[in-house]
Amino acid sequence: MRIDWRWRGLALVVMALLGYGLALALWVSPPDAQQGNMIRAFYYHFPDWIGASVFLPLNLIASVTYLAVRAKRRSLAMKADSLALASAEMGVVFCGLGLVTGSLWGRVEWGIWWTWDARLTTTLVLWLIYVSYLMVRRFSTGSSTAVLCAVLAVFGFCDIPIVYMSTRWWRTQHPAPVFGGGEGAGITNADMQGAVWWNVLAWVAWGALVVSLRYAVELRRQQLEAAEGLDLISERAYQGAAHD
Amino acid sequence: MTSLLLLIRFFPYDSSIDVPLTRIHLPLIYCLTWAFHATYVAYIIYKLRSLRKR
Repeated sequence: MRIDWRWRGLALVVMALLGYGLALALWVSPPDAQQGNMIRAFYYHFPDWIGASVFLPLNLIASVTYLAVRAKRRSLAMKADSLALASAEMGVVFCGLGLVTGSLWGRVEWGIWWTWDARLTTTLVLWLIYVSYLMVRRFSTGSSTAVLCAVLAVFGFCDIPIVYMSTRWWRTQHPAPVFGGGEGAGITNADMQGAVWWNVLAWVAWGALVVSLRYAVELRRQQLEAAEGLDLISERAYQGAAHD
Repeated sequence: MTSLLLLIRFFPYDSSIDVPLTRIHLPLIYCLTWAFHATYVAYIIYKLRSLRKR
C-alpha cells in the first residue's frame, strides 16, 4: 500500500490552508478589546469543536451502516467499520485538543484550569466515551468486537446533543455560543471572522485528509486479516483431506 | 530552550493589554495543537509501515 500522488497533492493544499490560517490568526486578526491577544486562542479552540462535530457524527453514520449491512454485504461492512474507527480517532484528537486548549485559555481568562460546570463535564464525558470506544476496539478480541463497538458508538453519540445544548439548558462558566448564540453574540470584526472561518475550513480539511489515510490503512489491515483467515481455513481443509 | 524562547517571540504579545500568562499559554495552545496532530499522523504512518511488512 502506497500513498499516491493525489493524496500528496491534497496534503500540500491543506498544509497551505493551515499556513494561511495560522498567518491570519497570528498577524492579520487584531487583538480583542477585552481579551487582548488571548482571543487568538479562539482561532484554534473553535475548529477543534467543529472537527469533533464533523467526525463523531461520521462515526455514528459509519457504525449504523456497519450494523445494518454486516450480515449481507461483507465488503461494505468492512469499509463502514474502517471509517468508524478512523473518524472516532480523529474525533477524539479534536475533542481532546478542545479540552486542553480550553483549559489553557480558561486559566488566563477565568483564573482556573477547570470547573465542573455542565459544558465542561459533559464534554469530558464525551471524550471518555470515545476513548473507551477506541480501547474496546484495541483490546477486545473475538468476532463480536466490531458489533459491540458500533453499538457503543450509537450510545456514545447521545452525549453530543447534550454537550451542544448544555450552555442553553444550564447556567455555566463556559460562555454562550459565539456563533448562533442569539442577538449580541458573535464576532463582528471582518478580520477576526476571516481568521475563525479560515481555520475552521483548514482544520476540517486536515481532519478529512487524515481520516482518509487512516481509513485506507485500517481497511487494508482488515482485508489482509480476512485473507489470512481464509488461507488458514483452506490450509486446514487441505490438511484434513490429505489426512483422510 | 533558546529555540523555545524564539518561538514565544513569534506570537503577538502586548504588555499594555495582555496578562503575563498570555505569553506562555497562547504559544502552548498553538504548539500543542500542531504536536497532537503531528503525533497522530506519525502513528498512522507507523501503522502503514507495519502493514507493509506483513
